[in-house]
Amino acid sequence: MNKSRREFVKKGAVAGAITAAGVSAWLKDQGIKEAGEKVKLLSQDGQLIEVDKAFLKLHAQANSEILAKNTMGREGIPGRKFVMVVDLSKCNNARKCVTACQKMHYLPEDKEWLNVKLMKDNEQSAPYWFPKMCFHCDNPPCVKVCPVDATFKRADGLVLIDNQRCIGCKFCMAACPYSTRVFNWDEPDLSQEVKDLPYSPETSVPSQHGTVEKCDFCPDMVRKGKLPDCVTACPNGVFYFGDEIEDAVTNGDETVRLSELLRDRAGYRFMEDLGTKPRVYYLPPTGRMFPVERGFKDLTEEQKERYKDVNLD
Amino acid sequence: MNFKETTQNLLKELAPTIEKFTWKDWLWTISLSLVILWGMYALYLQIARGHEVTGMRDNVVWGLYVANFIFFIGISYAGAIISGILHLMNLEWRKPIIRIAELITVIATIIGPLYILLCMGRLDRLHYLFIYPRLQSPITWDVIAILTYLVGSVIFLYLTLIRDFSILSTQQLNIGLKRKRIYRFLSLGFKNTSEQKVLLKVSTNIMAIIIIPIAIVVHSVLSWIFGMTLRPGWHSTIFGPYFVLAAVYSGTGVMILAMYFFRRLYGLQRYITKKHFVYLGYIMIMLGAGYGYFTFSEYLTDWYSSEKWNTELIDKLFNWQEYGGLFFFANVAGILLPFIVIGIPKLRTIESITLVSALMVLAMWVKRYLIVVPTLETTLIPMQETRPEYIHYTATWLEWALTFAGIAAFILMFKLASKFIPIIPIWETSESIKKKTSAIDTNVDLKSVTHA
Amino acid sequence: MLNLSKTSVLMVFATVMSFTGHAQVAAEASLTYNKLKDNNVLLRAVLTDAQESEPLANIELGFYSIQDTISTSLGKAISNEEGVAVLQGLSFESLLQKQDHTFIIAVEVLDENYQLTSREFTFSDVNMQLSFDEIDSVKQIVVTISTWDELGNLVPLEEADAYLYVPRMFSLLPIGDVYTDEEGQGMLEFPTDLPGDLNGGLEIIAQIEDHDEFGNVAVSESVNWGAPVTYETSKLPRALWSPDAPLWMWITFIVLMVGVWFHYGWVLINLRRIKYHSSDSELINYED
Repeated sequence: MNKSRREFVKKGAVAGAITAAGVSAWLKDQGIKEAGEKVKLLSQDGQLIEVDKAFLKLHAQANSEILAKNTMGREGIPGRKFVMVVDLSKCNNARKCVTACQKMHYLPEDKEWLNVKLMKDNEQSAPYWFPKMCFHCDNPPCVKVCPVDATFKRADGLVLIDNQRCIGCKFCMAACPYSTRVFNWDEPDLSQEVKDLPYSPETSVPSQHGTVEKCDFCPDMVRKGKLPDCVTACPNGVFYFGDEIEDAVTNGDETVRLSELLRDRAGYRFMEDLGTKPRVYYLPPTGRMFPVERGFKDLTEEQKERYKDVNLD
Repeated sequence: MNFKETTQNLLKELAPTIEKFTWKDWLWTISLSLVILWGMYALYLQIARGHEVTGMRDNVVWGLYVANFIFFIGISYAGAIISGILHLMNLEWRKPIIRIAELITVIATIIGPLYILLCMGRLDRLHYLFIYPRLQSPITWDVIAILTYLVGSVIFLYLTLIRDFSILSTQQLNIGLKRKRIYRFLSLGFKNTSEQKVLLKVSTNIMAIIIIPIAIVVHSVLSWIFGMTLRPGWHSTIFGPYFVLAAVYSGTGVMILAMYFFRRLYGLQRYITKKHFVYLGYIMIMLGAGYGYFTFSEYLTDWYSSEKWNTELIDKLFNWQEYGGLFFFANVAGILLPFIVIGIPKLRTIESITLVSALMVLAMWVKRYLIVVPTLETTLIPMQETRPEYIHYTATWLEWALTFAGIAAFILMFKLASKFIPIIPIWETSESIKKKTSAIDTNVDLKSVTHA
Repeated sequence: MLNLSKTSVLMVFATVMSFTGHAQVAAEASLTYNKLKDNNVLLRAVLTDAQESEPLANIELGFYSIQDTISTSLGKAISNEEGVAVLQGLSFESLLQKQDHTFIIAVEVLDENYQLTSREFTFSDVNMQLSFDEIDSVKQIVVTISTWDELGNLVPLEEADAYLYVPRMFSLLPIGDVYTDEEGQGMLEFPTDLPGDLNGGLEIIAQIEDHDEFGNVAVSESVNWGAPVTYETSKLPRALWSPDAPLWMWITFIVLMVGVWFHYGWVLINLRRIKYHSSDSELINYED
């Protein structure tokens, strides 16, 4: 693909001045093969236009190039403080969050930014499923130790990684008490298409050999007003996501006030005494919707093996 | 006899090691280079294929490399303690061994940080440490502190070398003109004029004083790479002093090994005597007592507090199926054995002191491994993992190859340095010999030196 | 028109089998009418296979506004994987209305392989208004709903449900619902501690949902009833976890570095002076 064309698309996308007919003609002009599949879009002046899918991809690229170029990725979304609430009473280890996350970030099957642990706090208490993602701590131990400002805290609460800055010292991985971060021990197995996607700390795609990565709360989606993929993928509505300043979180189905939810359901933060101030709250697994055994139903043998040390009685 | 004659006699004895590169030297050089080449091949594989060729994985993100890093920085303390503290205490017997001590410091400080580079996923971004530094990161502290320490150690080594360079450039030696010119250049035209004498003395004192706090800072910030995390076995307030003491302790051990090595190799029995071994042995067990005390205090408090993860870690260290054997060795060979051997006069020989030092140094290496690996295997959230390499760290041959390559490089650099500069400081040793009191002190048969 | 249930209002199923020509697939359509808060209209049709009730994807649908014999095209849309075709960006004024504010919207399949003759759906317009009362610091939202009689006169709508929301970043936060009295009015007390914007401003949306006759109708008003929020600007404080280190850390660092390197410099200057003070003699002065 030649450069001037990209430039053109970028400028066009920024200006938002491309009309449907114009795009189509222009795409043909430039010799871009149309995917044939048409997509409806609402143009800026309120008109419904129809464009070819091939254009959409270019548009997405142009968008994240803009993200990567300016410092938006480091500054965060103004006036927001994102927060997640995980309702442990609804989780039955359906693992839809895990696979959705992997799909969204082009991760291989054995790399989980988000995983589901089977917790049993002591001999007497009952086991429960515990989805664990990055807690985006307000006092993040990982960010403290980064020598090159590759992992950083944003004003909107997110802790992100710039894998173009990361030197791969893995200090952040040693510092994170929740073992959230993963490392690219070898060249990630990505298609050329994905490799060519312009990188931004907000998309975390593509992964890069020798650098650290982790759950990012999908800020590229959030910026568009859409929920992170794990939230929408969950069939049980376990994850609530929202803005703490607005005092509202939603799991896609219902929207509730964060303060009321935490008050009524006795929300807590995992290992509060570590002082990391996570931005993820948990609702205790009381009044459960599923027996814990349900979580084993659709697992592979390998996945079942992971939980072998937990006594289910 | 006068001072000049003493130095000339001493130079005459030491000259052959500098003048000739014997077949033995070649043998050493070639065999050590082969080990280094093996390591280079491993390094090539690691760069070409990525860190997946190592035993490190997402839970145990650091392994042998970091243990080696702490180990080498630790032994670099030999110089700081001998040249710094003993210099300030003005102990005469230290003089024949200061060169060895300072060489250990400089060489170990060069090799140690290389292991951190091996640990880095993106070596091509090394310069980011300087263009995007974050002062809050203990790694930044380490980079700055180690560079400062290296510069200081080189200056200190150089200060004690100036007078010897001066002797080497003015005396008759069977060396090429080029080398003579280098010696002359490095001697800074030192002729021991009264001004020069004062300047050198002042400078040496400044460095002797300043090198001690720097050395303490270096090993403290190194310990804080671990101490500043929320990990069991690492997050400890005594980690700074614990590491400092462990470092000086292991440095003394390596010092004794190096003394034994050069004494045998170059026939320095006259200058490096049993007294040196015994005195350093005393220093060693004193430090060992402190180190043992810290170790005891560290594990006792962790055991008593019975915090979940600390208990898990302690269980691993005391379990024979896991790290029990290594832990036992680290404490027996690392603390008890030196006490028994050096503490009982009958057992106190050059050979036995060297042997326990060797075991102690090995035990201290094992201890560093036990600090790094078991803690990383003890995650706060259950791992629930099926991939064995993610649960337990096992070093691959590449990591071992690079470990041995580092040790080989250490010895080789030492060896090559001893071919360029006298391993026994000529000026200072002559000074000792001149002083009657110190002559008795060092137990040297002076007649053979002075009347040769 | 056939009312199926309260929740599936206005879903009129029409099955017409084709007896002529080549085998056409019989299709069913349902239509949801949404009058959005800004008087924009969104039409949402669901197209399914009449026999299997499977959604029909990638079929083009035409939407029309019908009055008496006049039919105006509103636009076209293609159904997605779920059989849903959405037409949005219509203005309410573009719909042809009778005197009693009822109107008819028709849907037609524009694919000759499918058989669905134009289906007609009738809706009525509704007038909903929000007003705000604040008495003794009790904040009340008053929703007034009225509709039109056959002569075109506005009459209150009794026993209607309206749901109230405050828009948040990702979704609408429900704050309660009202049920209208004989004057077409319903009241809701507004929570005192709901965050608004910097000045406490927020938007309130009232919505009639899935109504048999009115479809989905929303109106919105802005009011300064929220709790004003304050948030940090994008500048992060000096902290261990921010890009800027705390001052004490810089001070400690600078003091240490200056202290050490000053001494190094001193020694290096001394070394220069040693060179400077060298004597011309070739010999070393071995005397003390």
